[in-house]
Amino acid sequence: MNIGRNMIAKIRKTIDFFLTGTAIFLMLSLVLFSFLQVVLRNFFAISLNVADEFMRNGVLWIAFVGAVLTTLRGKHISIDILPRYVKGKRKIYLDWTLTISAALICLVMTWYSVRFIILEIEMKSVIAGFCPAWIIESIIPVGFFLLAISFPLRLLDKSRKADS
Amino acid sequence: MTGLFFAGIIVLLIIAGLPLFAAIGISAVLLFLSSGIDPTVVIVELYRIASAPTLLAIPLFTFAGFILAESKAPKRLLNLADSLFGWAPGGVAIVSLITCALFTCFTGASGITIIAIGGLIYPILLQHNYTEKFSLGLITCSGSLGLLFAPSLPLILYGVVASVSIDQLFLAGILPGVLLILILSLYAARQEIISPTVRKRFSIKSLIQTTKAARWELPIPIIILGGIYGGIFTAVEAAAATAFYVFIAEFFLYRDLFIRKDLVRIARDGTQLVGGILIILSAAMGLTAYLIDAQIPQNLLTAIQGVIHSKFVFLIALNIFLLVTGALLDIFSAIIIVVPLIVPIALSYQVDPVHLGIIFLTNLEIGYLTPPIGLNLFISSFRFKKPILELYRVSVPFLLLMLFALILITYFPWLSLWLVHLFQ
Repeated sequence: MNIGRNMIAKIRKTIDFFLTGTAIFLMLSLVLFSFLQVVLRNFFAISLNVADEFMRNGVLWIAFVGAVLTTLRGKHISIDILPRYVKGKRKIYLDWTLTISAALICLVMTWYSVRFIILEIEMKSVIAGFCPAWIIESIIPVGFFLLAISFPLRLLDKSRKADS
Repeated sequence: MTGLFFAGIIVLLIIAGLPLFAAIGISAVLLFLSSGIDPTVVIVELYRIASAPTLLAIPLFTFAGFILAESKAPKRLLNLADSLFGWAPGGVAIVSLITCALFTCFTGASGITIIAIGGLIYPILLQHNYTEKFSLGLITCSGSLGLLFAPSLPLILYGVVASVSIDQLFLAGILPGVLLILILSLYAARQEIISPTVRKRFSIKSLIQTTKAARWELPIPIIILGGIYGGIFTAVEAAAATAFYVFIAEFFLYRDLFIRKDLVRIARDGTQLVGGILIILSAAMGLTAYLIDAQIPQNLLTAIQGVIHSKFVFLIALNIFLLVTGALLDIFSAIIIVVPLIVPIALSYQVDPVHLGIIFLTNLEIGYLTPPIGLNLFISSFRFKKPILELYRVSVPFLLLMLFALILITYFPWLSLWLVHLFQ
């Protein structure tokens, strides 16, 4: 049992570590490149449309990476009227109901995202004139899948802490 | 019947605390399925957020906001405001209002203001002889004050969702934002008559000192507003310049923060906040597409036009509806979900979409303070360890004053539109 729980904590930490790294990379790249764009546009009258397209897609990546980090820390925006009044065993049941529901929903979204990617591959869509769009867009299914596993991971890891 | 069953389950799950993005996403999938359309369209619509150029401003301003929040900027700002207004009747309270408003417009109204600045200001207010009741109420209401000032995230998000120019919204928010601060400041000055507070003398030396201390932060509003309205930057470019400038100022000029120690945390927390908001926006793209496809806004409009015949009554109804929304929903979700439904209706009553944005955000700002579940009340109760019922009591006068300002903002559109027309 302990081995399983250690494993869960390890998986959660690993995902958190990689996503934090990605978050820092994305955020700093957006700041640097967007500032570079401002300088190029205003002082040298040069406009890099390619960079613009990548930065817009960077926002999509930030959305998913940030959402998974939010899930791992249990800070999603929700209308939490009920959880304020539920305590004890009922709270555990409620947490599990919500976790399983959210995970299942994210799996459904993963399924449709994969279909979207297949469509994009078939249509040979490109970003910035050269990059196959599906490579950048793959953050959508990957993001939803990571969200799907992050919900139970967080709860399992939390229950481990509560046990100890 | 099956539709009702699923709708019932989703509503129950939402009340139980299901993350909103999941509830919205699955609703969109089920609605498309029920009308025989492949739900892959939900993802196609979701991907549209990668083609909205103004969205880039959100992570950039958030990054700048988090850096400012983590640095000693709030303290410097507080000192500067104190040397400017500390001598006036109700001076310290006015200083608090201004500092909180400026801080909130950078960090979004996510409760950070009450936690970070409220903790700083509360003891100062008590030291200056302000009553506990007044001080608590003031800080609780200040937590969302400043939402109307550029570059607040809700303002940008409204612009994106309603397809309204962010430049115009930044201008439109200035006078209504100042009005809110002014009304609350007058109330603070009145406190002086009821129970004299401790005031300090105006000192030019202290003003010079505090201005010098805040010298690298003072250009920020000029970069944003001056840059945009001087025709140098677009809103996104202003965000890029601000993020870069704030990074250099706090990490290298002031050296309040350190790359190794602080940058990881700031970038991670910023990404987390942005992710939490944008994932809801992404999920809502599909739902909005369905609603438009099923002509829900038009049907809603026809139904409302059957009941409400004048702009005056419509605005009253709108305010009541938005106040309830603001008390129930978090501000970002409220904008994402409600704006696409409200904008076409408001347009049919000749409400300018820019003015609508300001009405919308003022309502949501007040919603934070509205019992029983306004978020600021809970944050203050948690931060200052006071019972929630006490918070309800102390915020009533502030709530009433803000409602008064809301009426002025709603029925005097020029407050929002005068500057917009001036710069057109």
